[in-house]
Amino acid sequence: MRNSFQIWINAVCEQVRFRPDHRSIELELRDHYEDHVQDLLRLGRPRELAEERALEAMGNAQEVGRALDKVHKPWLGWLWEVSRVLVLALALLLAWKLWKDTYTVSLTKKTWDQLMWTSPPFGVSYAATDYLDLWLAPGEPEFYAGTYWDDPLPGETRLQVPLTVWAQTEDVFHEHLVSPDQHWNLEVTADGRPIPHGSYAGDGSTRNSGYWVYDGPGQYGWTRYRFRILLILEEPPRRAEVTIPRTGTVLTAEWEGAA
Amino acid sequence: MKIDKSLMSGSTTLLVLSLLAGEEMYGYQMITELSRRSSHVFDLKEGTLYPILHGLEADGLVSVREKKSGEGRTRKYYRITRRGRRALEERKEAWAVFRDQVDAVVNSAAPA
Amino acid sequence: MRHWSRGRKTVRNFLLSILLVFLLYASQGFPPYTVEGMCRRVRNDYLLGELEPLYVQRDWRRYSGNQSVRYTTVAARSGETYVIFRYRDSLLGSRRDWRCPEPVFGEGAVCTKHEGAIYAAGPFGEAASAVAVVRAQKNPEPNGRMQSREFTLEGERLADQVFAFPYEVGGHYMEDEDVDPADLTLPELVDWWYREPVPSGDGTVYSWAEAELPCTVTLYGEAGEVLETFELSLTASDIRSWW
Repeated sequence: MRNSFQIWINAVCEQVRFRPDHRSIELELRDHYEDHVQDLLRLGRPRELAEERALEAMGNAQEVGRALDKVHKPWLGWLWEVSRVLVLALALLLAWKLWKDTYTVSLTKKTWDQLMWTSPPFGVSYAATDYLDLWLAPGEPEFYAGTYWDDPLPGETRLQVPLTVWAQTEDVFHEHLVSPDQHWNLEVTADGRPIPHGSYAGDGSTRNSGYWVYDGPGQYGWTRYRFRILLILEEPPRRAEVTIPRTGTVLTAEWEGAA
Repeated sequence: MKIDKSLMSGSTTLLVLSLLAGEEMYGYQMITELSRRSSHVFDLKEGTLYPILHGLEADGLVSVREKKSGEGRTRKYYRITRRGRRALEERKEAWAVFRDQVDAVVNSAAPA
Repeated sequence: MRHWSRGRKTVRNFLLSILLVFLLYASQGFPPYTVEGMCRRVRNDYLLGELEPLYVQRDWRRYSGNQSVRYTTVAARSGETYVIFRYRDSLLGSRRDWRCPEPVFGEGAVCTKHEGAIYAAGPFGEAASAVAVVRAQKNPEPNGRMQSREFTLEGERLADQVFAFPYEVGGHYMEDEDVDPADLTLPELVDWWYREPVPSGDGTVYSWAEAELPCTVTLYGEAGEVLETFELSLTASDIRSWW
């Protein structure tokens, strides 16, 4: 009866210490047994005899079980299970972090920006600290027509003078270089005059002219950065200097033929 | 004529790999094919085939996949891998050497 | 890649796990785990020279929701520049988040508030004892007189170059203007005297300006003689914060 096969397969599986494989072993051996029974039935044997012969042909349950156990080593099996769970858990954790955690940097964007970084043009002002290489290039002054972070007050025209800064760091162990002005206490002068760091008044409007740091096209890599310093001035300058007081590094930008 | 089991044990792997060298097969199919090719001389205890197959799979000599057979059943088909073919060649050579040695000893018993 | 044996799949899974852990770590911005790592980050962020840790303290804080968080506070030095910074520790590395104030720097010496004490770092190796005097001042109303009060705090040596000056925290922040300033603790007084109303929709919200309170640290030798005096400062918002 099917029952005696069940007893046989149970005895086999009892020898196999790694339980998660019991099911597939049972299925495979049962298929085999039933195939044999079918063949014997086709040859004309009566059912009971066929089942008995087929079961006998399977062999000694303990022997088969022990041989299977040697192959289905429990510690290998558990190692495999652990590895599956580990990969799944880590993949889910990574997906969750990338989606939800505000502290997570976008891996793809950072890597893309790192690769898309273009070196500064030849001959621009260069300075180096222990940890950082910096380049500064002047941009074209333009009369302000509106930026994405604020609008001029009615009747106000402003002159914006952009400076582009490239930075290359020694390693990746730093915060997102998002406020080099605050962290480094940048000092900016235009034609010898100190330009204060721009700030909003309490009501949200821009009253003070000065300099702002922002990201322009926004390039944050892993070790390569580019950001812009915008000077808000009355008239186009001839020369601007950017100093990092703590390290004493100075970068200069010069314009030709300024008023 | 029934063959002494002890002569068989080492060479079962060789037989299984030879069977699979031609095509992929499932377990019962291997038993019947083996029996047919050896003119019913080899009559392996069928349950012991599976530990061998599972062992070969763990060693990377055969690979397994589930296939739907005609009657809507899903069976595990075993197929030889490249590594398995190399192992088969090695064992065939070893077997040939072994057989020749045995022949040499057996046939050289000089009658008195 | 057809049908790999379990062994190969296991190896593949473990290698994948290593890759995923690295990606996780990278996605957090490679946060530090050790004090050396934290020092390196601060050094890189603020373009300092090599930072040498002088004193490390780990504190546990329990937030609502019963979550316990560990913080690492480090006093370090790079040449003549002294720094005190704080990191919030977690399983996936430490970071400076919004709960941790910005690092404080000082040439020659520095001080900041931490856990109910003023912490000061500087060339304090020779001193047998130290005292800190914090001066709080209330701006006079028009027609009123200037009020000021001094808090004198005894120092406890924490390390070769670090002293702590504990004070009473109190905790009942005053709304009532009739209270005698002499009865208040340092943070209570600072909370009251340095608050500025910020007009908001439905009432007044207070903010504490970055006003600075002078803090004078005096080092004494074995015989009680004055060795050296340091003029340092603390910010009002720092003192009255619940750290």
